[in-house]
Amino acid sequence: MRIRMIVLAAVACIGALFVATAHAATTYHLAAQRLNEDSFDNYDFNSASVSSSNVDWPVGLFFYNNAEVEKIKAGLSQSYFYPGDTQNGRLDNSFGWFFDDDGGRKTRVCSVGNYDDHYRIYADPDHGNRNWTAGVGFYVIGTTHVDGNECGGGTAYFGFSEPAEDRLGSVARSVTNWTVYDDNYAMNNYEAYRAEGNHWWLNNGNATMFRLP
Amino acid sequence: MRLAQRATLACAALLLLSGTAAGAKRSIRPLKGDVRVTSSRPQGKKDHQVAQIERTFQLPPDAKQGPEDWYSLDLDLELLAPRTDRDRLIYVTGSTNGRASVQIKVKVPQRGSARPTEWSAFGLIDGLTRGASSANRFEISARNYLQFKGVRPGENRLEIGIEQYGELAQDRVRIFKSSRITGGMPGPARVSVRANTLSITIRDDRVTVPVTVTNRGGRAAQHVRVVPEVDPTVLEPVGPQGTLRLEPGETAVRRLVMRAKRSDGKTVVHIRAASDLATDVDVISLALPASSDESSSLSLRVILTAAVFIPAGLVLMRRRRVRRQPTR
Repeated sequence: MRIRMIVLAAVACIGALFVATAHAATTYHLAAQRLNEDSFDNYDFNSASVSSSNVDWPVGLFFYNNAEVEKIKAGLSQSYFYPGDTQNGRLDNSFGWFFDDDGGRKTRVCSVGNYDDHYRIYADPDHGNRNWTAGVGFYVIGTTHVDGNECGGGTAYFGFSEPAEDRLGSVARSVTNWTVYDDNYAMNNYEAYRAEGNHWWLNNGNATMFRLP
Repeated sequence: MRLAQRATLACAALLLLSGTAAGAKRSIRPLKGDVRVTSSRPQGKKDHQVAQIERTFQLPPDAKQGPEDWYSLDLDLELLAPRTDRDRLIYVTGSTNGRASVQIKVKVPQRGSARPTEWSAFGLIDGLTRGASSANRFEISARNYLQFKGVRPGENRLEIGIEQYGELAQDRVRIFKSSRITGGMPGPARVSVRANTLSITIRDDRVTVPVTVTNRGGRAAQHVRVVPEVDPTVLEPVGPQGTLRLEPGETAVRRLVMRAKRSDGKTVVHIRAASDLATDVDVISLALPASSDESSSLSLRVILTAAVFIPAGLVLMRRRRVRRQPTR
């Protein structure tokens, strides 16, 4: 038993050496966004705790009309195939706030001397991974960012949400009947270009909308 | 003769009223008979395909979604979804004017799996509904409200479609003619919560906040929980929080008890009432006593008294000013 624990600890240490993670970050723009009877926070969080010093990335993706978490992942799977680390989104689907955790999908397993794009999407897990309002139908919110040199090959860096959002929009345009509206939803989460450790902020405050038929 | 005429007129008026009043359900069946939608045979390396049917239906010239009179879509269908070499994901969607109302998600396990085919739908009428079948062919019924832009006066379009992602196969949906648009539906439950700030009491370290919860919607609000969201370093909720069922228009009063951990200054409490399908929040500011002695209770009373009497005084002064205005 003890040997197994030591082996597990060693594996964890080696993993920690090779796989870098983004530093915790702080924002001045964390705010609940109202959507008809529903609400959601405009950042996701490192843990299931709402704090402006516990944020990960700004919400920049808004899937609507006929969205659902697994449908989105299936639709984008040609480019975004690999799983990522879990973070937490907070929503109120008309019956109280809840956290949804998601590891999302990445374009590479773990970047070495390069970068990959990574998105996470959040909805109500107790109601089939979707939210619904009469205003926009079935909707799902999400964040996206770049993971750079995550497994070595240079200094690790994370962030640049805006260009990652643009690239995800381009991928989504190739999915049959999906319509993409770039930077079309004011999320009130503008982040000027700056770094907090290896956490690089860059976000114009307007989410890209994806209309699923 | 005159009496008979009056009676006829009264009956006609009653019939007219009953036909137009909000709350009188009206069903429209856009399908003349059962309709089949078949996804095309997969070709090439496609990993996503869509097939759908469209029908038109008429709504009154003043038709709109809510706030009193709501429209819904009921979908009754049979799905034939064969198993293949990999797990599959299918969505059957009912939309009006391109706006999704009913979304049925079907997970078909791979051939030979012991798992059943599972489906689920979510809407604001029934919440989450789900089912499972070990057969390839099974029936599903699901309903939901239409979207705001899914209702328009005059001609409307009903679309029922099937989408496949990942492994593709030839799926068939038979939509029964019983599928329908219904008008005159009561709207979703809408819970409102207000703290009765004048009745807040603080004795020793116990803070008691009476709250009034009302269902202002058209449907019963189920499993309503009234919860204080507090700064955990300042206050701690005490006692179990039960759930309520509120019929449309019904009001209930609950007393929220919290223990003060710290006794200095003000703290903000969010009082949240949440049911299965509705929520509301009231925010109050509590002035906690500097200590548990009488003077601290007094300070709270002073603040609350000021909160009541200052606005009341302003109203009285305004009324007096109005009265003193000379008449011309």
